[in-house]
Amino acid sequence: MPEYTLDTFQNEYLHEGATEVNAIVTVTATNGDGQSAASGSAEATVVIIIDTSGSMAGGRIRAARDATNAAVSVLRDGVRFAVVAGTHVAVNVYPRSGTAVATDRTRKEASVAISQLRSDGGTAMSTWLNAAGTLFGGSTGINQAILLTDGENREDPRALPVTLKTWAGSFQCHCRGVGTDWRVEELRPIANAMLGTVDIVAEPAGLVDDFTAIVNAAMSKTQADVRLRLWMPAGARLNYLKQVAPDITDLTAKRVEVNARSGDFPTGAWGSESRDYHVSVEVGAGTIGDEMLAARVSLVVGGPDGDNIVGQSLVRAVWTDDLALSTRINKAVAHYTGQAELASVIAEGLEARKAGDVDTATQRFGRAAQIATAAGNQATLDLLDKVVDIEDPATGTVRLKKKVDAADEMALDTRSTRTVRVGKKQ
Amino acid sequence: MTAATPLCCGACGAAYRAGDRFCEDCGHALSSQTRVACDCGEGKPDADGFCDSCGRRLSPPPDRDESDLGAAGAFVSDPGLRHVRNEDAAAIAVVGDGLVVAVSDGVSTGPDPRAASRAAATSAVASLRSTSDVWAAVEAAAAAVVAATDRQLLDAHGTALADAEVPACTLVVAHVRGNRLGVASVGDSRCYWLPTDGRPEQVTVDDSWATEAIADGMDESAANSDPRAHMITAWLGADADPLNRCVVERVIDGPGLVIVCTDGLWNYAASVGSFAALVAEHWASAAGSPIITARRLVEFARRAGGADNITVAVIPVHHEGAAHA
Repeated sequence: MPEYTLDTFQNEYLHEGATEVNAIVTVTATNGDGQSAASGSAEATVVIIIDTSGSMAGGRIRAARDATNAAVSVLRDGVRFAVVAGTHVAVNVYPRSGTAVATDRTRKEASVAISQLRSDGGTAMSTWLNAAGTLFGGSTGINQAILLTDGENREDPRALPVTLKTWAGSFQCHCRGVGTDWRVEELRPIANAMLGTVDIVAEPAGLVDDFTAIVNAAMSKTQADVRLRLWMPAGARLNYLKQVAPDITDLTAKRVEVNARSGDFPTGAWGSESRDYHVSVEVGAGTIGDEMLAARVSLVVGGPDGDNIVGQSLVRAVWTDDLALSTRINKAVAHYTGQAELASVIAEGLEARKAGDVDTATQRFGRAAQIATAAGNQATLDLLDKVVDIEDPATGTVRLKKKVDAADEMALDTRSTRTVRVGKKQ
Repeated sequence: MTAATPLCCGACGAAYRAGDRFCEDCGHALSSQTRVACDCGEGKPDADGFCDSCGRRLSPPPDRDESDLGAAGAFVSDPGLRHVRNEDAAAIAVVGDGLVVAVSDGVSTGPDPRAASRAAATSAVASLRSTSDVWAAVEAAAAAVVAATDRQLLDAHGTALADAEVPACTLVVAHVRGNRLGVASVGDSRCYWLPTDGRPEQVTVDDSWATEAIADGMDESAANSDPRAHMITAWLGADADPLNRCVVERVIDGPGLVIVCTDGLWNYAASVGSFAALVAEHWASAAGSPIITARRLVEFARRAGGADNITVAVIPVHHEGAAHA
């Protein structure tokens, strides 16, 4: 049985009249005996959606076939799966309908079907997601999908948002763009809505490793439908609830009301892992000496008999006139506030660069270099290094490179939300 | 709880005034075990003592203290399960390129043990901000405990202080800098050095009846199970004998953990080997976080019985014995 612990990191002391309470809550799940997730865990279903539009012809469709084959070959016996080909419509490649249970026979049959994938057609991603959603069929297990595309969505722009609303919470979808003709701002909303990741795989040959990694990660999950439940006192308001590690995801808008005081935030499926969350709450001001519970953060897992609370941690507020206490900044809160600023200045820098606003882009990327250096976020520095020449990270002095590889720019775009854990250097 | 907090009947929830013997609404006899309602009028206490509607604290806080210096170290001090008050105290600070920690256990048979332990811990750490001499810190702490002793008490007993009941406490002071560990102690709180590779050791020697009996030749298990075993033979207090300087200086040239704790923890793992295993298990599950390790060790002691106040400081020492940030 997975075990969960929640720990709060905060400076609970507020000066008189202060109302904003910030805390980092670390949620850690361990699977006890360290064995693989197979025994007694929730059912896992994996759906692989491959863009087979005309632009995929040649190396891309070959690599997609190889990657899908590789992914299917690592499926553990008993895991359910399906392969979907997406163009302006979605077609069930294997099996012809529904999902199959992975066995030697079905893996072989799938491999035959996959080898017959050909590229020809348009791109209507809402149809692909509808097909996947139908395949998962309302099952409450660990539902994970991979969506691979190489180009832009070409359908009524209203279709995709409606589709995402329909299926959000039913499965997680990890989006991958191969090459550089696709748009990050098209795949990112899908990943955000479907609690998945988005990334660029610049070279088609990289798809095999990427797909295998996603499928292995999916099979390592042991608990579906894990939610953060946030209780706040009467009169309090939530500023935001964001996951801040391993990458930044804003969960605030995904709140599902439980009762007048509490709401649930979905976090998808969990294996043996740890994630950090930043909770920011606005409470009514207290007087010196008052102590208040600003938030109670609980971890909830759905079960056959209803919801179970498997862990909790408190976020408190204590009003004091001792400035030495109230001016302290909790290291974890400061660190992740900085990481969030890092992600947003990179996004602003990329936008400014695209709009031709060199000054703003330079200033934003300079600030990004500063924060990344101070936090020891070497991975982000390396990504920045492909877009700007970093002259002095300490002062944030950078120069935009004249020529930036489209793949490098998209890599910075998709990976800027990855964070370093507080206290550790990357 | 504030003075204005209304009292309410445990049976029907109606408010009543202090002094009433029966509830005016439902007639139940009012006992001292009544529910306390919140000023907000909407909620009652949750399992942690906060109002479940407005969040204000209703029952007194659990008398727990924590200090989190991140990767450098941390301590947690908890009243345990049997004692109402926490008479342990601790202080920790980064000083220069090193770290200083003081842990003190107030003697609960005397008056105001908390005054003693707090004075001792804070003045020891303060002393180490200006000198790296751990024994000087102990002497400063001893003076602070005397200063915290009610003057009236001292004057009333004149020179016969040995018969007086005065605030008293133990003290362990540890200074970690580079690959050097300096520890001074009085009483039966302990400091351990637990290297990642190498033999764990209890750095301090308990000033306890059992330790002295064993030194005098008594059989170890007989001494440890004697009812007098945990009586301390040295302490800080106005009634204490002059202190014998007791300082250990060690070179710690590899990664490991320095642990300073009161007997509320080590009583549940008294041998060095069992203590080291206990700490290693919780350090591993806390993924290298001193504050979480300290919290988990306190939890362990509470689950094991929590018979005394529990204080533990966790100070990691990193590779090449280098100082930590």
